[in-house]
Amino acid sequence: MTSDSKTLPEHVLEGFRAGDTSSVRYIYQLFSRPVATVARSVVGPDQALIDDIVQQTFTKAWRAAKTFDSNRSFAPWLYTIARRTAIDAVRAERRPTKGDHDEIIDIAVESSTMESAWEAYEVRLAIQRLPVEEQEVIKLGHMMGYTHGQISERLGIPLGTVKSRSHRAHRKLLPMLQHLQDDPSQPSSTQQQGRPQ
Amino acid sequence: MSDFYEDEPTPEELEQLSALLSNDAVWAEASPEVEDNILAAIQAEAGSATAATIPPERPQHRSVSNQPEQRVDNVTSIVDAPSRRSRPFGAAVMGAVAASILLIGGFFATQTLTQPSFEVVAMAGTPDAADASGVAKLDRTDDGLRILLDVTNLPPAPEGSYYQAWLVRPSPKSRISAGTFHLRGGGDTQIELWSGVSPSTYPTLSVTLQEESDPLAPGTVVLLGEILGE
Repeated sequence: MTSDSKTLPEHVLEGFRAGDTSSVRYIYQLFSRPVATVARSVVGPDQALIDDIVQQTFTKAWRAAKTFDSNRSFAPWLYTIARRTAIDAVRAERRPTKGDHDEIIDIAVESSTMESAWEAYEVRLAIQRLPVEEQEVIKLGHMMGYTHGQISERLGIPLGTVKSRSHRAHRKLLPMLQHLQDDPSQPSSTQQQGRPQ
Repeated sequence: MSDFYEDEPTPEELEQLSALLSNDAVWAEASPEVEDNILAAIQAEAGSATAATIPPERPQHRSVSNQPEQRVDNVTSIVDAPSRRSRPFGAAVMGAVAASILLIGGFFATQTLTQPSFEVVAMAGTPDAADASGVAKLDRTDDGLRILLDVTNLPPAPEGSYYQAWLVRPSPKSRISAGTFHLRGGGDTQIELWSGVSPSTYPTLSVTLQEESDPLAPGTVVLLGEILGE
């Protein structure tokens, strides 16, 4: 079970452009979590704001999809829309409601936040390429902080199965995320690939 | 790049990976209603853009691999859609009236002349089962809705879990089970399911992976399809 985040099948993209229900749902299922990750990275844990950014991102993407080149990678394009939408949301949240304070409207969003958002987005896409049962173990272990024993109890599966799933998942994730782990002093040829500007 | 880490990972590599995975932002989720809100917003905006033009022919069979139609639902736009009106208001109203007449006329003509004995629904795999697909044949019988589901590339449900088919109503949100199966017989297969609810009210067909230990949990959606033949 994989989710290719590179180029979308042409018929899915065509369906998305046309507002076709299955295609919209398909793309949402594929990318809503990474988009929520970008929103969360930029605006913090405000769930209502995250929801708003996710919704705006997909509706903006739909409006812009007619000009999207299907030979390009969809994920970085969508990431760019999500990032800009999130930055706009931060600025709108910080915008003064009274008085004339135009000079502080264009609040800079730190580049470290953008770096972190891109990293988190890549991590989320990589997790989605794992089989469901491995995603579950990774999620419980890293999001919930459960031990292997607790995961075993929670899922009702043997401890050995949890360990082997966790081991397999980590070994699959390492090559997918190696470009995020490289020593910054050693430029990586893969680090800029597909990276949105 | 290999799909699998060939050497045994070092403790440092695992520590770095763990740090990436433990970032709270990685696990962010949008609230469940956001998907339907987006769909409603897109369809409302798409509908407002096409309502004054030639109405699309309503297909009896539908597949995500075919050129999709513009579905015009009775929903209120929840986005600040830019105005796309480029004709005088009177002409737009006349166009909308004509389009409505054609839509209604076309709908009844379709219902009376070409209503099939069964309807085919294409099911697409979600990211949790991206390689999977399915075709459901819906047959309205006197005893209820009979669903023959052919699935492809959907793996057997792991021990302790099972698949469950659902008919889903968008608003107010509700879903009714159409049956369960596990596919442990091996190979692509056909499953017979039954439902007592109408697809005109429950227009989405979905399949989830459920845990036996928590059958009331929402489950993981693995296949989705829309029923548009009503």
